[in-house]
Amino acid sequence: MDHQAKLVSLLFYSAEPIGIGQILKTFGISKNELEKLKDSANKSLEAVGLMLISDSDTMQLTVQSGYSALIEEFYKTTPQELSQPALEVLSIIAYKQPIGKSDIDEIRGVSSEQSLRNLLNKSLIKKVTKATQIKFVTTAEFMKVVGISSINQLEDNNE
Amino acid sequence: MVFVLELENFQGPFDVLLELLGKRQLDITDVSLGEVTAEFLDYISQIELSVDDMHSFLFVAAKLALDKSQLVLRITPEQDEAEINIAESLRGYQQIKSLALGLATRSKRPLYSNVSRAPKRSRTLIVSRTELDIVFKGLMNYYQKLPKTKNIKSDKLSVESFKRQFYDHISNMQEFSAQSVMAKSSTRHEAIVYFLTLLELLKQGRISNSNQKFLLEVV
Repeated sequence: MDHQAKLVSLLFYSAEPIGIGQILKTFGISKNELEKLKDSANKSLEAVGLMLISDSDTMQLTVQSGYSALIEEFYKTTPQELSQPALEVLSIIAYKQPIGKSDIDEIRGVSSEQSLRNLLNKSLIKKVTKATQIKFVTTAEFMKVVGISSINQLEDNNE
Repeated sequence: MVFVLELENFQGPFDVLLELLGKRQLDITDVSLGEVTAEFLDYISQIELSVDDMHSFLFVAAKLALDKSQLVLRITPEQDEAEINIAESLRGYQQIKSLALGLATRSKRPLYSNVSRAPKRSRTLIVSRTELDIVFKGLMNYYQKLPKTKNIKSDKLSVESFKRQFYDHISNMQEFSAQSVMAKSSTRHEAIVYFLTLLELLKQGRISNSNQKFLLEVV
C-alpha cells in the first residue's frame, strides 16, 4: 500500500482535519515529502472531484470548489456569509500573517476586537504566539471557506 | 440627524473618508483629504459611537485638521517616522478592501468536506399495518421478559408530614424558641425541613413571631 492511498484513506475516514505532526509520525516522512505527497494525491483526486487542503498544522480532504454549487443545490445549503469588517480583517490576516491585533487595527483605522472574536468563533483564524506576542493566522477552515487548497494560491492570484 | 451605526457592518474612519473622496471623485492625496476634512468633521459630530470607536474617529479627525492647517499655512511638516500619514494609511486600507472583495467572491465557491456536517436529507419511512403489528408485538414481548422493578421506599422527611406532626406538638405550647426546634434535627436534610416548616407556619399565621428575632435565632 503506497503512502498516497494511505493518506487519502485516513483523511477520507476522518470527519475533522488531521494534524500534520500526526501524519508525519505515522508515515515516517518529512514535511517536504508530505507536501509532495499532497501534490501527487491532488493530481490523482482531480478526476474524482476531491482535493487535499492543508495549513501549517492540519490537512483535510474536501470536495473541489467546482462542485460547491451542486452540493448547495442537493443539500439545500448556502455558503457561509461574512460581514464586510470580518472580510477586511480576514484579508489582512491572510496576506500579512502572522499579524497582531494592534497592526490590524492600525491598517483598518478602527478596533477589530469584535471581528477577531467572530472569526475565532468560526475557526477561520487562530492565535499563535510569536516571541511572546499573540498573533493571528488563518486556518484550514478559512481555506475551505474561500475555496483554496493552500495559502500560496491566494498570493499567486494577487500578484 | 443622528446616525446609528450597526456593529456588524460598522464603518471606521477610513471607510468614511473613502466614501467622501469617492463622492467627489478625488484621488487619495493630502490635498484632496484637506478638501473633505470639513465634511468628515461634520460627519463625526452627528454620529453616536462608543468611546473606543469615537477615539478612532477623533484621532483621524485631529490628524486631518493638523494636515490641513499645515497645508493652508504652507508649513512644511517636520518629518517624524512614527507619525501616521493618513493618505498612505488610506491607500493601504483601500488595497485591503479590494482584497476583501476578492475573498467575498471566492467564498461563493467554498470547498465542502466532512460528511458528518452535511445536513441530513429527510426520509419518509413507509411501513405496512402488518409490519407495524409485528414490531409492536415484538416490543411487548421484549418488555414482558424484562425483570420486574422493585419500589424502594424513601424515608426522607417531607415538609408536609413534618408540618402536621410539628403543629400537633406545639399546639399545647404557649411559646417556644426556634433554636430549640432546630436543635432537634440530626441531619442537614432534617434541619432544612424544620426551617421550611417554621417559615410555612409563620406564613400561614399559625405561629407568630413574638420578639421579631425568632428566625434570627436559627441563623
